[in-house]
Amino acid sequence: MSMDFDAIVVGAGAAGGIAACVLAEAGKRVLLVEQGRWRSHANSGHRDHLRNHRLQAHGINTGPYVDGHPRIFVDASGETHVVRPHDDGYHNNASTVGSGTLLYGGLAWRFHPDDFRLKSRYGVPKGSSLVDWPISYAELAPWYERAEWEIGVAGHDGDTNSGARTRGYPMPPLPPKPSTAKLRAGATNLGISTFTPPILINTVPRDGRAACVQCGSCVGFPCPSDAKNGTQNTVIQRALATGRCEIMTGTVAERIATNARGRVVGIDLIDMGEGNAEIRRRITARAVMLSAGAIESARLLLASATDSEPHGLGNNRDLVGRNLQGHYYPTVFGLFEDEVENSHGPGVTIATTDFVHGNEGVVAGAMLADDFVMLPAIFWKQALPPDLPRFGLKAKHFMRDNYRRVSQIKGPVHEVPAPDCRVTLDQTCKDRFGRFVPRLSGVVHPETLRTVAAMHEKAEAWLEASGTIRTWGALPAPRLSAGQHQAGTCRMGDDEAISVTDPFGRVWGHPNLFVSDASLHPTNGAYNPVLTIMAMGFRNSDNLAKML
Amino acid sequence: MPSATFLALLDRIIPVDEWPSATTSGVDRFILALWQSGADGSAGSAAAGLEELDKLASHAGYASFADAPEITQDTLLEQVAATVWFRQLCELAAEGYYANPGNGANPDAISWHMIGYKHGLPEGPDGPPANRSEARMGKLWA
Repeated sequence: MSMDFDAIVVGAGAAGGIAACVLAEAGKRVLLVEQGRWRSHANSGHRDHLRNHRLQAHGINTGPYVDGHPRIFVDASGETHVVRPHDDGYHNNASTVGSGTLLYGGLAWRFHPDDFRLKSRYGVPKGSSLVDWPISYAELAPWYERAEWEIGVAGHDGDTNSGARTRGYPMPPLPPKPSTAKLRAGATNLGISTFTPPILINTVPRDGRAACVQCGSCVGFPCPSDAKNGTQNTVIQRALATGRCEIMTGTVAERIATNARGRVVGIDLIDMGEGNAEIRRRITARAVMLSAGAIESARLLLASATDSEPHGLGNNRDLVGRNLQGHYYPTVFGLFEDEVENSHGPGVTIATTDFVHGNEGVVAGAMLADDFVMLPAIFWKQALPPDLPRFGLKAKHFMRDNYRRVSQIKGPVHEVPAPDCRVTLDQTCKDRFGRFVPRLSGVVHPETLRTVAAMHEKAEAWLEASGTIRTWGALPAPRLSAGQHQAGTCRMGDDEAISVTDPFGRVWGHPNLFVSDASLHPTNGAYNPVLTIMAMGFRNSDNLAKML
Repeated sequence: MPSATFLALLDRIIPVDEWPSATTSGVDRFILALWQSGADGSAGSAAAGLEELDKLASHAGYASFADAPEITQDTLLEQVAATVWFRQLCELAAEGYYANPGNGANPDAISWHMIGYKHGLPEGPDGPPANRSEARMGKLWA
């Protein structure tokens, strides 16, 4: 392997894969480092309904492996747990080339223009660290468009609340299912605007790959027709095709390498090999970009202390790892007289963005939509009415009669960040490589829970207006929220005193150290965040390519 | 060898009707395999719970829970319905009954026919085969 790189990108997920592509196509020599391995439907598409990224009852379907990769989780009552990758509290991201983009449902939202200015619109709730983004929707819009066309989104211009668009989508939207018309009629009754949500899935053959075959197990698994557009089958392929990008899989970053003056010179890597044959080496580069996710990117900065930054790189103001956030998903189920579900994936067919802002008495809101096809075991665990016994013929007959008659409305609440929700380095627990593991602690800000309750009511009203016989769904309890859509731990900003990086993800005080993933998000939007991570990935790596 | 009480209880958790009961669908083997592998830690509390059920049955005049008629079994079962061990057992029974056949129960994905779930996969309900080197304890399996 060559040892002479312009840039090392740590993490081959949504933003990291894009960085490898943009840098390599700009003529730079790039090393893309990934803890996981190459995975596909053929080698990892086994449909284990109890071990996947939608239900991790007894394991998982990508790395990190169950043994050797613990984390410490402090729960809402303050109790500390050692957790494994499939356990509650781990807040896992898929460890594989493409990361979550290999397995996701691929909802492809642009954030709302006011999602970038929550502080300006709502003020700062007590105890929160709410800020505006340092950039506007208008600044990100061309990069959103690039992500939509280069990764591949199916959709239509039906969102009356979205920011300005200058171009449509490259593919037509997903087809409806039996519940769609009922939910549309219910929304119309309430004066709610609806449309088909945009998604990173081929609805027609594109980019040399087939269209979606509408299998009944989409989110959480690799795609049987390779119709899901992730970074592993788009930009990473382009990066490798340049001949200037090398990818090291099965390799973890031990720490960011620095010289005697504390300046970043590369990465200290551990190649896992097979068995216990670990190979450790330092690889140097002119720039380092961390795209390992909000927990692992923060962990790497914290684990790379120097004499001048004894608490971690970029952490002299104790900001790295703070403001960990994700998405609470208020969810309401509704039982219909007719069959409304047909197992045709992906399953998301209708959304509204009317409640993203402007909800009386609460901060922000959520996009609300129906959901992906539920695996039967997941339906049993999550979708049964609270008063239904979990045994006997009543339970069995509810499954028999109503699996196809239950629909749901849910949505990702734009959370109010709290500085006490954070990643730190645990001081005792180590992983199989001897690295101190992330310690996750904190409880979501109370304002977020108020918005959750408000969105729950909206979802319930929508279902009730759509002809349901009954609805149900519990309000979620206070907890740390980073299990879905982790973000916020290395927030970018204009002011060095209250941010970890500049508006292009460059760590303050370090000319050649960058973060590019959802760690940068000052707030995480009222939508699934992956298209924003991708747009930011294009923007920030384009900036880096010009600097190198 | 699974106890008669265990088997009888599973078939009251998921009783037979026009579709198979829990044990007909292999749920007992699925749960025992999870317990034997250590992937699920509820075996001890379940064993104690089954003993408790047998005691309740003996108070009601039967040699064991399995010897009681179904209607009595259901009455006895109501007495433990709120316990943690029983709820965990219901959870495991449902996992086996409704998961993919490759998990050891639900042959021919028969419960999916019952509820109307269609897998839509070219390879069948389990999709492609599991990767043997990874699908084991400590790698991808707990």
